[in-house]
Amino acid sequence: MGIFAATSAFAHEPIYGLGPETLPKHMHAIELGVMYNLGEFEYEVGYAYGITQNWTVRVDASATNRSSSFDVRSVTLRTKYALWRKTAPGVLKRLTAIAIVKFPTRSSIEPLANISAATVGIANGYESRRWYYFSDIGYTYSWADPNDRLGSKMSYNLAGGIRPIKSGYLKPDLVILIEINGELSGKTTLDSTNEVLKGGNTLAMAPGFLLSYRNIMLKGGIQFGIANTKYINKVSSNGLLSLEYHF
Amino acid sequence: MKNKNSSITIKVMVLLLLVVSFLNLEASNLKTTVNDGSKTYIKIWVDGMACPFCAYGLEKKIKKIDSAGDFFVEINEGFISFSVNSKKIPSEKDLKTIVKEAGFFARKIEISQTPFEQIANE
Repeated sequence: MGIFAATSAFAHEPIYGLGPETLPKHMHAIELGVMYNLGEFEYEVGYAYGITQNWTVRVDASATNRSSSFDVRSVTLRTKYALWRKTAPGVLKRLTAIAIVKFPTRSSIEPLANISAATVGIANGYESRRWYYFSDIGYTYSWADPNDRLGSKMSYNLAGGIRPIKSGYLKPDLVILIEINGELSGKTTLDSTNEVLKGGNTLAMAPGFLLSYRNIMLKGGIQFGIANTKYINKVSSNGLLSLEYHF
Repeated sequence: MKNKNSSITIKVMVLLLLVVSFLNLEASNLKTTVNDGSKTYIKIWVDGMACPFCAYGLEKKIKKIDSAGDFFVEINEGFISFSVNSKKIPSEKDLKTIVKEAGFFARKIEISQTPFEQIANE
């Protein structure tokens, strides 16, 4: 898991999965995040804008500081469009289409940097004053060197959350989440290095939290692999923390 | 006997003075909350408002309304209230659009010349 930037969640939605959240019309959001994985830190900065209440665009850039060198790992453009929305007192249900494009970047040491990728997905969400449920599915097609055939990926995520204390508007608000993140990968053939990476399935679990105060949100999660099949390794344990600000 | 009656009369008068003073105090306090007609209060019952972080988008939009003030959100009851200049009351259609653009639905809109009761933020 990991062609794209580490953190990409909007507001109340899964931290590792795709989520259905779109911004209000003309709302801006910036996000600063850090992910720790396999002894390395990855940093991310993101900016999002609500074109309408149903249509949000977002740009992200992430970088690593591997071997004391600071390399841009990915630049992504993503957009979300709320296809369906149903409201009730204290309840919001949504179905959102998502498209993401990762642009290639130059890096001498980051193997995923020169890969281009496109993802299409769909996410639905149920938000209430107490409970949260999310599910999503996404398909990613990647390409790099003309001689390399990169396996496509299908991600699927389920998440549930609870707000332990229904606090007032001007009080800090905490939501605890638990996610199941799955990914099915196709076979990758790297002719340039005579390497064949056969596909498989991975499953990971990720407990996390969303702590907000008015228009500021601190999000964090830990993801660890719980199962794998065929030739794909388990997801390496990683941690993620990000700060989001709406204005 | 006459002294006893005088004493009772004095006590009753002091008591009456205290009651009158108290009522005057209450009246003067009330004066500060009585609207002189320059403000109109609007209360919108908002569907879909599940979290304070999301409701901030609505706060931002409401505060852009000309002369909007006294903004209040009761997230657990699902309403917002605010005041506007009585000469600049937005139309119900405009209010519904504002709520829609924040990602919610305005189920009911109430307009009053007196402030709505606010439930204290816990």
